Amino acid sequence: MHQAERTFRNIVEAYSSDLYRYAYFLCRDRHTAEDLVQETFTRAWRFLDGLRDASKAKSWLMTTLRREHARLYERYRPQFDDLELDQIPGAGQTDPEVLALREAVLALPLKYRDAVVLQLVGGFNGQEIADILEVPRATVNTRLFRARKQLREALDGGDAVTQGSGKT
Amino acid sequence: MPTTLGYATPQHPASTDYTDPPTTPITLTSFFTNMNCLEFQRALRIEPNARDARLLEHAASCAVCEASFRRARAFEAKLHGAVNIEPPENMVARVVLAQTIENGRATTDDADTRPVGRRAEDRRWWRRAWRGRWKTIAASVALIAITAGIATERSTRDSRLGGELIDMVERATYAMMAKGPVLAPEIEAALGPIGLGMNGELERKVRFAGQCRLRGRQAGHLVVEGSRAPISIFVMPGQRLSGRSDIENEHWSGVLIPAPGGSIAIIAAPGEPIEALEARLQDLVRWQA
Repeated sequence: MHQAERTFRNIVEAYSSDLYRYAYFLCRDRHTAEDLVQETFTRAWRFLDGLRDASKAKSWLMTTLRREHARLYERYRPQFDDLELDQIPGAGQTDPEVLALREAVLALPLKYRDAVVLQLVGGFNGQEIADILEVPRATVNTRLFRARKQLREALDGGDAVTQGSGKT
Repeated sequence: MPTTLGYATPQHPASTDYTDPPTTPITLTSFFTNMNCLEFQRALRIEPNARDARLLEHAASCAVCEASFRRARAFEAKLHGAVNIEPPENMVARVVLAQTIENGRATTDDADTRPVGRRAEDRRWWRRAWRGRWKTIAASVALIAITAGIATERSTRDSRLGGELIDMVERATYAMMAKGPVLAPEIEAALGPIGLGMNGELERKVRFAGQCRLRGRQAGHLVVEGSRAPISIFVMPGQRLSGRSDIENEHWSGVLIPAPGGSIAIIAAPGEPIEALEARLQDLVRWQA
């Protein structure tokens, strides 16, 4: 195997799972998610030298996938039926709260979903998310704040952080 | 409760139902060093897993915020579980395969696409064996050469067919990337017009069924799911082979099989077990007159 192919395979093995998760929560369809991942890596092949720096590779890949998703949406707005929980690919997950949270993440408005999934799946900090989304850091903070608020409300109708807390 | 500059908080910020980022009161001490409760609660809702020394210090210094901190971390663990979905099986293999096809990596070196078997080492062995013995074996050589020439010509033709089939697989990205499933009626519709059919179903999911042109003849082309990557099957009416032979190069391996009405080729990723598929196809393929 040539060095470039070896490098490419290593990059695919290292990042494809997280890319797929990000794609899935963006587009909410398994097949489209895999197509987005495929397209992203096709572009990655052309810029392989630039991806040898591991600290940049992941954000580059996520940014590229996000743009591919945006292009997809410009051309076509798929109509999705509400997903039943058992149709959503799980990792053997049985905790009902986790499953409910998954559904709640999928139901978030795209701009909140985008930010919180980048944080959870990508492990990016606020500034890195701001760079990927090309918005100010303060905007990212607001989106993360609202996303978590909606997720907590979806889970238990309240703010888990404040439950049982205090008091006057 | 710390003395505040700005406004006094009548209750702990953890109990406040926040709307959008609240105004942050500044205490005398927090201005210079520590995070205050309001800042802490806000940070908890934005980056709860941040390794911020100020965040951790405040959690250690405020019982109420520390409880919030634990709850937030537990909630984050559930969130991480929620987004930790399983990628599709063999996605890595498909991505790598698709790129390989895209690159058009059929080698330009003919030796790479020849069936494994005829090697340079063999030819050198023959030369050593004949050295100094040419008078004794001259007559035999002539007879052997005539016979071998016929077999070699057929074998070479078969090996070129193997190379052409690999080219076909690498060009047919539409087929290799098809998702299927293709059901029996569609398979019959694809193969029937060229005098082929299937006496039953393949155990593997069929992702593509169609025709292609090989050496001036229409052939059936099926793509089925493999354990690592899609497997291409070519059913070639009228395409005669000298015998069963392997197809192999850096990216592909497979087999060419003589059959009653022509030949069958199976091409897969290296290491893919295809013996059972080979046997099944020989039973299933129907060669019509």
